[in-house]
Amino acid sequence: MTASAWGLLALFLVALLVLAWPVGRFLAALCDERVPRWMQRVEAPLYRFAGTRPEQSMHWLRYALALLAFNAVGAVFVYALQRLQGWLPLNPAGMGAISPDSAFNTAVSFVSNTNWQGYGGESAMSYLTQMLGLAVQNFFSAATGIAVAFALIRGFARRGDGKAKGLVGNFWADLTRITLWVLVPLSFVLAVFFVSQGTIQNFDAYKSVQTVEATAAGGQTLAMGPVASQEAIKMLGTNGGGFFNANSAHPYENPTALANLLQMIAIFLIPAGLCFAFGRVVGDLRQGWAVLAAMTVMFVAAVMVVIPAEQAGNPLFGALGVDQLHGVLQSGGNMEGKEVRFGIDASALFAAVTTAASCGAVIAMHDSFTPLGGMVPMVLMQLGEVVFGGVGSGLYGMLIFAMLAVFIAGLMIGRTPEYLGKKIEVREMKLISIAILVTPVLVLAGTAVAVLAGAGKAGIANPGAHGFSEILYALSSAANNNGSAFAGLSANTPFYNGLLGLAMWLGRFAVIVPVLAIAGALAAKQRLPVTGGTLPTHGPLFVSLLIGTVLLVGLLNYVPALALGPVVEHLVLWK
Amino acid sequence: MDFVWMGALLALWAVAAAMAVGLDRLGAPKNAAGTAQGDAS
Repeated sequence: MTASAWGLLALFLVALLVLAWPVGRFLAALCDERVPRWMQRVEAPLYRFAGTRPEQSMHWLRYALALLAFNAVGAVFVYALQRLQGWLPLNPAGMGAISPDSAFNTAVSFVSNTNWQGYGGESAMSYLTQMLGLAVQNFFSAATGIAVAFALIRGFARRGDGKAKGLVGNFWADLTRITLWVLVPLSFVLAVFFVSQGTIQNFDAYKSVQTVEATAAGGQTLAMGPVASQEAIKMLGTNGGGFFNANSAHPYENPTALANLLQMIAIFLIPAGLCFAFGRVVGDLRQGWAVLAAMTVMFVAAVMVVIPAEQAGNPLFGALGVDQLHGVLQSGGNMEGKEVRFGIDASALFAAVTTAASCGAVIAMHDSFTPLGGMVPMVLMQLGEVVFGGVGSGLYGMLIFAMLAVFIAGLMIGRTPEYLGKKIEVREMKLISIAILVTPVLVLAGTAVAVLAGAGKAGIANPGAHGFSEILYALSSAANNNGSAFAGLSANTPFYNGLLGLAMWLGRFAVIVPVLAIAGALAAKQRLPVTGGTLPTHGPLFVSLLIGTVLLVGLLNYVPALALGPVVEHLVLWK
Repeated sequence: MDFVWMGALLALWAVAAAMAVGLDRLGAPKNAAGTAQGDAS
């Protein structure tokens, strides 16, 4: 890696830690239900309207059914909005109705925090659909993920006796507080900052301009819209669905290098803050640091692969005598599909950030990365989106792996598995197995169906190993709720809209349900005191064990599939 | 076509809700007078 790449990575990580610490403190207060009186007064009318009382904690099943009902209503609303947008206001470009299969895919995509986009934003969606449908779900899907993380943290933190035995919190109160006091204020500040950098925020009609170069159309149409307000929550909520088709590579979404740095920090801000919140609420900050350390080690390792892979360039260009060396006049390396203003370092770092977290925003086309460079984002998704991961989903995913790690350690050394004083027993292990295996089944079975079906093969633009990678990437992205795409796969078809919609929904809610069940089971258990026989879960040994567990599960599931795609492509390119 | 895709949305919701109800019964103590969850290992 070049010195500038190390510098950028160090700056990013330091700024992230400094900003995530206070966010973690506030998230811990919300998770602990320590809400100041003035905030309670603001919330009160909302609870009255919803007919709920925030102090009424729920059994996990009630919490799960409330969560599912809320998200189902959201999905139906987004579907209807897309189908009716032609008759609705705030549509200066005169966008017509979205096709039913695409509307289904997009509704599931935004409700599940995936934000996979089979459509081009500026050529398909009205301003009203972007704001009331997509941006609103950016907030609610993010709040849903954090609420599930809160429920699981409470499962660990509660002592398993008294009135709160087996109860995990109130879903409606969690949803309201996370949206109102975390996501909206942070998004507002970030949106104003983006506007200061040049991101647009308007309701203007699209503008026709005369370009310097003559074009067949006689000029160019510049898409307008309320971009900054959507951009902020797109990053903070690890949503990733761009206002424009080019996503954060578009200068109206991501105008400057400083905006780009803040976009990356915003993606990791809440996932990192939640680690600190976790440590605080369970009463041992070291536990939060241990989880954060495991995430950071895996993330830095991924960055140390993807940046050199892109900096190495393309050997076929080298054979033609093309200068691909990094220097003062050029980024060097593989610049295909990358923004010249961001270069190799920022593009490769952004790719690692956006796929380590389940964001999916892009500033470079991952399809154009070298085979090894493109494999890194794919693997980061396939690890289950636990390397920081989505807001909430990253932490609860990593805690599931932590419980699996203590179970494996217990088997090896003959100790009763327990994590944070809670015994991990048969029921929890069954639920953990379901939560971990849902996404690999969806990815691998979905990829198999797509490469066997005629409609699946019809979408491939590049035959051979790269075409297989395009399909594997799409299913990995959908089932792990990332949303980024390898370009080159024509996925806006009824076949892919249906298949990916199924993967996104089950990849989200078929994981959330067992996680909430685990939260309920833990909340009903007595919290055992730490003894000499307790496995320490805050030191380097446990961090190593946790990393090993995540890598072992990921590699066992995906190595054969990766061998057919990026590995073959790499060997062919560098033979 | 709207009925088909809206139906698909509702079917997905029903699958997740059924999963929740099913998991609530998974490993629940069969003996009503038995110990609380997690105490029986």
